[in-house]
Amino acid sequence: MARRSPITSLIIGVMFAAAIGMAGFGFVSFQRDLDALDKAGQENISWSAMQLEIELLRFREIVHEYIAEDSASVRQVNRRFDILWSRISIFQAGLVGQRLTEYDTNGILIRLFAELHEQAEWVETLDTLDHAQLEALHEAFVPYSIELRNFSKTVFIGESQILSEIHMQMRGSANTTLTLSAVSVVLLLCGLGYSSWQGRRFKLLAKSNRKLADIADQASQSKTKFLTMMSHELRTPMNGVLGLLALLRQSKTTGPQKNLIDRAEKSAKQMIGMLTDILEFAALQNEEMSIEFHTFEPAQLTNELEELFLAEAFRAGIKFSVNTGENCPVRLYGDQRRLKQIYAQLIGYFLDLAGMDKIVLEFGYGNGQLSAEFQLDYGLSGASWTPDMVLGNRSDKTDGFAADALGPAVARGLIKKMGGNIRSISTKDNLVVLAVDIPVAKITQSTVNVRLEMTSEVMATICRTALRDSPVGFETTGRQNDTRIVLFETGGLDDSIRVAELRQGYPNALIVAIGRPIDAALFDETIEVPSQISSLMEPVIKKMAS
Amino acid sequence: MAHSPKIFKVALTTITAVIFSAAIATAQDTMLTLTNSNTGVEILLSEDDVMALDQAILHTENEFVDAMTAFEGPLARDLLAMMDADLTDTVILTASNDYAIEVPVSDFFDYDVVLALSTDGTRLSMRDKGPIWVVYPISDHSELDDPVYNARLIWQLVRMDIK
Repeated sequence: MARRSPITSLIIGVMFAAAIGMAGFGFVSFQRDLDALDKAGQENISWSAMQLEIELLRFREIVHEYIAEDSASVRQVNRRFDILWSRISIFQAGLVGQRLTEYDTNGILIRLFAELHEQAEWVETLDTLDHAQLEALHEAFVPYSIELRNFSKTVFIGESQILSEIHMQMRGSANTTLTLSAVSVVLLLCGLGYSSWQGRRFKLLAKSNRKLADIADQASQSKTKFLTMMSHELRTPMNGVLGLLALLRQSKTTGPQKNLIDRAEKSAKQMIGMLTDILEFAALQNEEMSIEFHTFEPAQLTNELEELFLAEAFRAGIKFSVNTGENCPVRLYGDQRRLKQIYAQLIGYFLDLAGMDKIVLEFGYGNGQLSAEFQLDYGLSGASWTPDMVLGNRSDKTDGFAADALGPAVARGLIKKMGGNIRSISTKDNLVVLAVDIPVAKITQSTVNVRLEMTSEVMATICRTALRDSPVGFETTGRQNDTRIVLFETGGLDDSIRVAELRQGYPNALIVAIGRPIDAALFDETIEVPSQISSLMEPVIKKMAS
Repeated sequence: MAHSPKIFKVALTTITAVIFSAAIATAQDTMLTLTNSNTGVEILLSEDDVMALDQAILHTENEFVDAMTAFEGPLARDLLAMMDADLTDTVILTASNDYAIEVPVSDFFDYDVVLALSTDGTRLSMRDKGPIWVVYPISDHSELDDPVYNARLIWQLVRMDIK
């Protein structure tokens, strides 16, 4: 994953922090303004102050009506008095009372409340008062009307100022938020510009890297091609040398001369082997090596390996044996040639190791894998060895590539290609135990019945030959119920009729066209070239067999 | 309407007794007048009638008291039930000084609004926001701490008219 540069991280961090800061500032500002606005509206002080003035006027009016012997009753005067009392008394408690008291710098509320207390007895006994007393009661409240009007005005102006301050504050908050938003937009644009520039830079870098990779790949391919060509070119004269040595051996030669010829032959064969390894290695590098599946017997593989190396091991004084374990199936399904190549490369390498005393190779089978266990006793003459090169653990920091590393490298490449692995089991007491595990299918069913629907015996023979190593049995007499595959030679105009008959007769079978059919849709599979039957049909047969 | 069954339940349990007593209340000792112009209902309630209703106690603060106060009196919705109020109606609350305010009936079913007759056990006098003070449960519902609801804390309530 590409790592972000410190500058990019810093810019993103700054933008993120700025955005959070601006959002937080805006939220706090608006919250504060809203709280203030709520408070100003909630207390409604102006309304309460005006109500005081109005209720005083209404009380004075009702007293005046009573004096004039108009319609007002004692009860009505008392009711108005009580209402006025309740209006004045609110300054004594609550937030509204507190705010009103703050505006009452002249003490009008306290004085008026005291006046109410003083006049309460007269009001409650209104019907016993004479005219002069009633006039006195009315006149007692006259001065308060003017004072209450001034008080209302003071409260109104004060509250207006508070609202004005809140509005100013909100305007300031809005301006600040606008400024911060503009800064935020500028920062965002800068960030986008920087991001775009970085994107273009990375694109150019990627393009440049791709070009370098292509150049390196081309160079590698050229090198491999050169190696392949040189290997071919060197092998030809070396074979010529071997031929000449063989002719020389047939002539009259002395004992020392024969000895020299033997050594020259051995050197030439070693060189050819090395050239072959180079070719294999190059094929692996170029992914040109293919894996082919066939049925094979592990016992046969064991014999071939023993025959290949027994004489050489004997000459080198190394005890050598290859065994097949009891758990190893009789028949397996895989690429025997490549498997043999892997084990041969490794055995060849082990035989060349100085101090090797004994090599035992035992084949086993488990979990769908062919397991080859190498027991290597190398303690002869106090020699020491570790299997790093075989396991691919050697950290070769030089530019060179040891000649003896080629065999293990080819073996490792093949093991990897076949989906296997090589590992060390034990390296104690001069005994190294290595295991090579490679997935190989086990043949659990002996044969898959195949019907050959051919127009010529030649084509039938070609098919039989192509599938000779596959676990198949050919239908010989009549129709068999367990026929799984019908190989059908195409080309006739009546293919569709014949295929329909076969579908009816072999409902569970796979019908494969051999050749180029007129209508490919009639068939489950098509194999145009008969020589490809083996490679194309093997996976199907393997699946059916298991 | 989610509250309709409750309206009728309260109405059935209280309306008979209250209307009976209201019928004998005279104009002079009427504490609260209830009218519904939609149905033609008019009920005059004396102090005894109001006291006879189920009394609720509401603990709350508002901007006219210094601290948490216990307000006691009937729930406003019980009286609305007597008036055969509908949730979509609007009720006009009128004070003795003729101050009036329109309030949606739904307020009284959404919240336990009390028509307080006493505070902290003391009967409200005419000189102290009595005899009836409409009190919202502001401390229990923060959304009520708003100028709109503060304006509905009407005191010296004398009339409730549904239009």
